[in-house]
Amino acid sequence: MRRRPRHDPAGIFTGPTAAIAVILGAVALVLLYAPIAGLAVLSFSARPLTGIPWPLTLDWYTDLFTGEDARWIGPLVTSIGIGLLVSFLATAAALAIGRVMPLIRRRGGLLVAYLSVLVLPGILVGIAVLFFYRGLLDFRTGFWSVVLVHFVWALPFALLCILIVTVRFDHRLLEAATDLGANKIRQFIDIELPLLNPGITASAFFSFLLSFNELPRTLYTRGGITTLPYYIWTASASHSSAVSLIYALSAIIMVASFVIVLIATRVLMRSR
Amino acid sequence: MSVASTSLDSPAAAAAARPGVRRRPLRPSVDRAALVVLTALWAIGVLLPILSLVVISVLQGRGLSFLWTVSLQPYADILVSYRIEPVLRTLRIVVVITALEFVLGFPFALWLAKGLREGWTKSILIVLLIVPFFLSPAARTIVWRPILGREGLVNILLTSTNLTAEPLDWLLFTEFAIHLGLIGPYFPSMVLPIFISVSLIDDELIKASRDLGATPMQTLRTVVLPLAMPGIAAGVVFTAVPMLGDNIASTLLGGGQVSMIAEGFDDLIRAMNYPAAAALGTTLLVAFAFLALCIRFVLKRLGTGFDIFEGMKG
Amino acid sequence: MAGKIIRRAGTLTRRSFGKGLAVAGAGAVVTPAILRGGLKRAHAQEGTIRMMGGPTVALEDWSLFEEQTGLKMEFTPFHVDDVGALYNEILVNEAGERFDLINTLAGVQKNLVEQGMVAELDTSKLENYDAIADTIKRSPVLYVGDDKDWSVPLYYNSDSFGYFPEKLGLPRPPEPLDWDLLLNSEQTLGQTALDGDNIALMIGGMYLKSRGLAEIGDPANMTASEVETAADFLIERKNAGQFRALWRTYDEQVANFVNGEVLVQRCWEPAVKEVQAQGLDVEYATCSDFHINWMHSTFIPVQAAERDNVDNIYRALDWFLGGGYAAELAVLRGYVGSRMDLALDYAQEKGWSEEDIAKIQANIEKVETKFSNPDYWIGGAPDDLAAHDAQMARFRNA
Repeated sequence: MRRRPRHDPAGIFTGPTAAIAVILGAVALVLLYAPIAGLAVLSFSARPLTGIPWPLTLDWYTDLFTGEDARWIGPLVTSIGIGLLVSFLATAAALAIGRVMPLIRRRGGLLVAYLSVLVLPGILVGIAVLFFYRGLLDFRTGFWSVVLVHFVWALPFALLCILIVTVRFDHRLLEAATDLGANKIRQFIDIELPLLNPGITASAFFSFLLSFNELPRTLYTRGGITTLPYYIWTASASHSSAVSLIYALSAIIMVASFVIVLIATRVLMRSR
Repeated sequence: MSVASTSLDSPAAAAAARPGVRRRPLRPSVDRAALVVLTALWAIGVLLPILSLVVISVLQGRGLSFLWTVSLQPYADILVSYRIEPVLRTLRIVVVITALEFVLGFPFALWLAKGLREGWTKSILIVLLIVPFFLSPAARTIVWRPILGREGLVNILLTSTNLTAEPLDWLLFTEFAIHLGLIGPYFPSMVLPIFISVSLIDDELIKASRDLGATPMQTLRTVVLPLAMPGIAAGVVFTAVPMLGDNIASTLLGGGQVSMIAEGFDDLIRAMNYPAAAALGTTLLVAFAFLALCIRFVLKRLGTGFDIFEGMKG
Repeated sequence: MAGKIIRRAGTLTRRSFGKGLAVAGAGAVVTPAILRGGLKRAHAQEGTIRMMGGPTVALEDWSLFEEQTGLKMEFTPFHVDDVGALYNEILVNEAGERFDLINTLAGVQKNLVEQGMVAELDTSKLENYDAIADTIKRSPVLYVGDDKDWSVPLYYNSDSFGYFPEKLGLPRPPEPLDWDLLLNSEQTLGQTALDGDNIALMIGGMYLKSRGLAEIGDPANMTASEVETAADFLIERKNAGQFRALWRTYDEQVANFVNGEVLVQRCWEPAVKEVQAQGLDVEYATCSDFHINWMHSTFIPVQAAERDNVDNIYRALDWFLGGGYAAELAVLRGYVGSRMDLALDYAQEKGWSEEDIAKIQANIEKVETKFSNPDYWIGGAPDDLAAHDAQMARFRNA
């Protein structure tokens, strides 16, 4: 450790403990990526459902971009769009709630009020929203209801991400800033936002991902909207080649998301 | 690097400071107004519809037509052993896996945040933790089958090396398979929040602890752990809660031999027995509320304020 | 020190945060526009037929449809096996306003007829309808009992199970087997798989009924006590270790065969085709005791019947009853179309290969052999759905 101070500035890790940490993580990562690697290999198989990689083929990939089978692009755009919107709304709301919550007296109860929705299975949340808005108030379900249920799913997580940083935020900094004559907006932009930023980034990311992959809540509230998970769910019910296409589609999404997220991470880190 | 001035606060000091917090002058009322408005909207727009499930759960009906007569039949429908057992089984599995994820994930998150220099390795590891969220859970779970199956990879390896004479049957369609299938997908949801909260701990703080003669273990216990508590709490919620509703592992790896909550809900809803589904949901809510109260009571007796607001700056 | 750190934090993150915010903001503005564009397409232009249905309805593409009818097809696949979601789509989401034709597992639509969601068919507008056999048109899954026609049969099949004839030392079809092999056999103990939904109970009911072991009226629509009897039987077999797994999806069926999980499996015929193509020696059984008959049918939603493109809708519907669709489908999936006579004409007229024509003829024979059994039609939605569901939960948890 002494040899490489930058490597381990904190001094929590000695050689053996670092090795243990890496091994534990590696075990989990192997369990996580073994089936994903299998999925990627099988996407080149002529018959992916059989679990046997050969004979190899690129047919599924070309099929994905031709004719009827190319219909996943619309749902993909829909899912990304809803994901971004939900990410923005949930993060904004979580920020508004999370930066005040640690300061008030009944914060425990308030936190429970926001987190309690997590206990219910997603499909039931969908049903509840459907009954209340469609059954009782007679609103047509559609884009707004999908955004609503995704928001309900994402907000508790977004709030937790924000709370991780806000509970440690030192409000004396703001008092100091006031003393130095900074106005509220400057205080927010110059002091709070930068300090809360890791939480905000995490919240935006998590909200997007939660929305992007959401299926059970969407099922009953989707109106005419087709999201990507819904599209895949439908395709997996078919008795035909559409099921095999899911492998290739997953592989493409995997590579694309890897590249995009890696670039995003590098950009964020570079800026430090 | 975030909160520089937390420098020498030990948790003990923080706890001591807490009861007598100087109530700071209230932040501008705009902030409060935003909180009140959002909470009101949340209560009316989200909590109210969800509470309407309680009403639905005492009605009779099929599909969308309800008879407006109160009946406890839905509760009778679900309070039977074959509905309750899957609930208990699910809770057990969720507790075990969440604990396991913590054991696997906490040291790793700590190392990722504090033991690894920024660079490509770190970026790639973080990205590897994020990418799985984009993938269809069903597609990547079913791939376990050619791995764990009777004539799958593992069994081929075991029998060809003569480690076992017969292929192992219990690798698939058992609780073992479900546990194995859950560990991977829920690992990132445990690691990422802990990683964020540990990253936020100022290196200077840890160095100071070391310079004062603390062993790494002591530093971990008295400095890192308390400050990482919000992240740990978030990690546990991120991991356990979605896992409760996971219907992929139980369906694809349990092969109908291990039934869990999510399938029960799916089936009740597929059968359009909404009152019973609502009753099961209500029961779950009540059980959780009860559990939360119990934990609160126990913690109060023990005199620890073990919540995520711990370590907060008064 | 604190000040320095804060300043550093300030420069590092404001920039990246701003970036993130801009992206999210742009997304928020752009999305509704994209989505609205997507929704607008729902109001189709002249000559387009919008159909919702199981993915198996679709051929490889719709070029044949477009060529033969001069109409455009906009097909939206739907998870038709999930009856709850389907009812929700039609009753709550008013699919009728967005679709001209709705395909369901036949039987499911009977409730919708009662609810007034289905338009009565004007069969005079369907050239190919009259000649469909009465056993089909008046089958329990289509006929509501009011002497009216509501839903058009697209195709049907009779299901059984797949098995490894070599490994088991059993004959190949059409030599008949029976369901003992799947449900009640020492030879296949622990090596069979069954549906993970209500159909398992129906199979149990059919088994008990065909052997006179229990008084069961209609195995596809059992009463609460009947369904309990069927579940008791299945639970007894499950506890005896008969079943290796229960499946939910198509890919599970294929995986079970390929990974050596089962010797016998209740499955869909395309799953057997899939593993045969992989070189596995699996056959789809012909049975002496019973088959599970099912049908996919299509109706015109009431909302669509009032639209001005109703003539086009009938033209499209009639196409599904024609020879081209039935012939293509027989080769593609092995399902039986409503008018196999027209299919044979079509294939001969087009000069199809002998191999393909043989497939069509095999289908005609299949109707004569497999459908000669007592009519065990399954209709997706038994009246006492709650009892079926409860017993299924009990079976799964046993």
